[in-house]
Amino acid sequence: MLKRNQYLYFIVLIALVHSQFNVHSFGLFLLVSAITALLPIPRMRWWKYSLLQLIALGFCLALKFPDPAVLETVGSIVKTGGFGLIVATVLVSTITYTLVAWTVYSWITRFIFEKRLANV
Amino acid sequence: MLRKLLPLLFLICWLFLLMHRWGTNPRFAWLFSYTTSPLHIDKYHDQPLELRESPYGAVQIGIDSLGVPSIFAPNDAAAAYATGFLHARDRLFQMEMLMRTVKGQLSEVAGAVALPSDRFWRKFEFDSLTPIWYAEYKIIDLELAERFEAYCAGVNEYIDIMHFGSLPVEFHLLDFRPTKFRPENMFYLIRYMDLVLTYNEDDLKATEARSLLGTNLYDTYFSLYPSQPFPIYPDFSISDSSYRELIKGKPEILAQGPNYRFPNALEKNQDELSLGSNNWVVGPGKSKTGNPILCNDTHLQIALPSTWYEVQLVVGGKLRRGMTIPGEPFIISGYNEKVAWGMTNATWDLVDFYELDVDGSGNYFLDGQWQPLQKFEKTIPVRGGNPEKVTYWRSHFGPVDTTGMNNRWLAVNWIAQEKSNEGMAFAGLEKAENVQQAYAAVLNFMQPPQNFILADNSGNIGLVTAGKASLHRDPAKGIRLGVRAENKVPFREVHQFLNHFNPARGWTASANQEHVNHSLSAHLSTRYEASSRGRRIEQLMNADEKLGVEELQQLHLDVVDLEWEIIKPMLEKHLSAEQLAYFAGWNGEMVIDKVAPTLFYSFKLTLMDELQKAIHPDLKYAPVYQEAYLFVLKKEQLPTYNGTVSTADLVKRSWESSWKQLTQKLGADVTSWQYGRFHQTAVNHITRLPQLSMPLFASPGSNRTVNVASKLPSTHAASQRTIIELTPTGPKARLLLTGGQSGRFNSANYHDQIDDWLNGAYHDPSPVKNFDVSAYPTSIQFTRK
Repeated sequence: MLKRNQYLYFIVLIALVHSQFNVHSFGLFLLVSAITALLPIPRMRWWKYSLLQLIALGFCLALKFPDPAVLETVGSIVKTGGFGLIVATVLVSTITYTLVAWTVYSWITRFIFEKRLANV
Repeated sequence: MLRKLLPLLFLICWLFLLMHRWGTNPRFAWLFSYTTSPLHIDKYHDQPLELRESPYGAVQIGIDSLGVPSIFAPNDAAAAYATGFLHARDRLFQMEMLMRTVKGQLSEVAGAVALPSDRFWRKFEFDSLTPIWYAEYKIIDLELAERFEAYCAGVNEYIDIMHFGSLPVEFHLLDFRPTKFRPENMFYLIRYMDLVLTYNEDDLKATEARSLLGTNLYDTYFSLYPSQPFPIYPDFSISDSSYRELIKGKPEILAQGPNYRFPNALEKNQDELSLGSNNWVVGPGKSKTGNPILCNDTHLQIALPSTWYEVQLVVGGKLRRGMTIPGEPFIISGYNEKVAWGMTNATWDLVDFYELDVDGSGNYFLDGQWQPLQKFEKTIPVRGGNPEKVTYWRSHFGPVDTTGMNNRWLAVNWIAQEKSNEGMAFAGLEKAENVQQAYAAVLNFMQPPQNFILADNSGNIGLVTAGKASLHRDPAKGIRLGVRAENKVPFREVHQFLNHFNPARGWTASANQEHVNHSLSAHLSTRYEASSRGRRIEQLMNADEKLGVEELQQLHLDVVDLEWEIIKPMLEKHLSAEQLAYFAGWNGEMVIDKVAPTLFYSFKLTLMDELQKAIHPDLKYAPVYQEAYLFVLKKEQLPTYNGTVSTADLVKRSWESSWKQLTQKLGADVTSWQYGRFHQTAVNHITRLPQLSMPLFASPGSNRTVNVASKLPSTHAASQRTIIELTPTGPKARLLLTGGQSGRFNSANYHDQIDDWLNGAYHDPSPVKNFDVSAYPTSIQFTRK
């Protein structure tokens, strides 16, 4: 049986894969990122969010690997090369998610945790 | 506290970095965030389509291996709906750019680099005029308006159902989304073609040249009449009274003076570009099979995606096929079961500039009194910069834009400003049953004026020049004075004079040369295309008693440059035997494996440069090339601004200069100067991005060959070729477009027809009138709503 935390991690993963694979809006991605950080996962760390996002992106790329022609041409146009384009995309997406999630967690979720603990 | 603040500060900085537009670059968030990344772009054949129902009736579409769709539709509206859908599917970015160009909205997505284009277009106010034109047009021709609205609905249907992975790569790279198509966009394609085929600023350059050279020297090199006319309508005649009626009124007054300088005038050297086309038709008496055979090849900038988009339409069981242009639902060059048609540009002078006498209070002097200029402003959004506010003025002669006009107030009157409805002409052609009906249809064509070639399966052939002309009362080129209202040259139709049917010689042709051997010709234009192509077509037409499809296909591919006949005696007169040895046995054929074409082409272009410099070092306006070559050939001494120059010196100097340039470009070994190394073709993407363009490749032809290839590297050539034989049992066609059907760089049909274009191969579709899903690799079906 999965533990409660593992369910929450799983929900975060599903939300990240869905929002990035199917919903092509940066604003909505930021919103989803913020919402996932509101999930009450204790002892969360910034690198855990990074790891979750990396796994989510791995799933996305495994579900549909980019067309080699697109990689070659677009990579050449944006001067990163095909592999560089994937690396840049993974880096930017991971940093974005980590920063949003960690900020929301630090300011809101942890505050709620602390308040609950204080009440206990 | 700092530990809590830090992530927030980082986040704010990071989001600013990602969301801010840095110059004209796409937002990093758009390009590098996985959620909107171009990594999502689908393999072309993977693109999913979730079709909805067609509001215009059930439509079946079968798409062959070249990407050419066959559309089976119950009515014109349903066919237009499907055509719009397919145009959007394959050419959405091209359509968006065309619309933005004419509306003057390019800078919004391309940045300040597009500002000159937007400033140019905004003064004509097409963005506000076209909805009014469309509303008027809808009242006059409801049936055609319905067809446009269906086309529009088809385009928007594709935009609505488009999956994110189907968004063309150009939208990803430029970071914007496609705009919904509107019915008034139908006017934009014609205006854009007006720009390509009719717009020039030769009046400015001619006035500057006259100002620089003085009238006598100017007239020596810029005479009004071709010295060797080769008219499209050789049997044209007109009574004196009719001729006078056409040009009645006081001649316009030309602006003259010493201080006319327009360093920013549009550089568009028509002679070098050779933007034109060929069409010819052989009648039953000249045809090997006894059936008329019609051929057309339109010379335009060859680009990716191609200008043209081939379709076959079966509407209510009746077949039509040919080349459409994304942005309109009609077949522009093609055939139905009984009639075939094609076109070439009429090459008339359809832009006039008028200099206004302006006071300091926003008035201009007209017919003896001061009239107010109507000031209007346009704000052009600029990507990566501040919006640009531009001021224009409306006058009797057209809009005034003082930008780059050297403090002169010049109004412009251009054919594109005329309201017109070319759709009526093409809709009529698509349904014509014989040449007479086709002729009646093309009379609705206004702009840009075209030489329509026609044939029907009863054996009739014909040629008619349709569209509005600007009959200048004073045929000289130059700025006209806008001091009297009558000076404005109106646009008028002259198709009643310019046509012939079933000519006695059994064939007819046009290649953008002058229309008539009559002084009327100069009132229409003084800068027609050189007659070399027209003459070569005649040579080959007369070479055989009867011609078949194979011979006519070879004519499409002919690369003999008849200007060699002018240049050859010039070289024989002035070059040494050793120099002439390079041309031994060569007949002017511009083939890629010989050295002689390299020496000839480089020399003839250099000769023009040297002549222009000799006439006056500051001269920016070139004389008509062919006329200038003939002039140099005939004269021993050539007049210049400071006396004369000897022809022998000029020719020798040009030869040496050309030789030096070739040595720098191709190396010292002359035997390696094959034409294919010197003359190459560039097929560039419309954004000029090299990654979306084709690498340069060797190609035959020159700016004067029937198989034309203008500029170095060549960017203007045959953009499509059609050969149509009209048999009693139905049409047989051979077709080709330059590039491919798809505008998607990762489609197999992006540039799959380039090799065929280069090698002279065509595809010959069989006319299928019933939809069979198993006959096509891809099919799309809309059900009735």
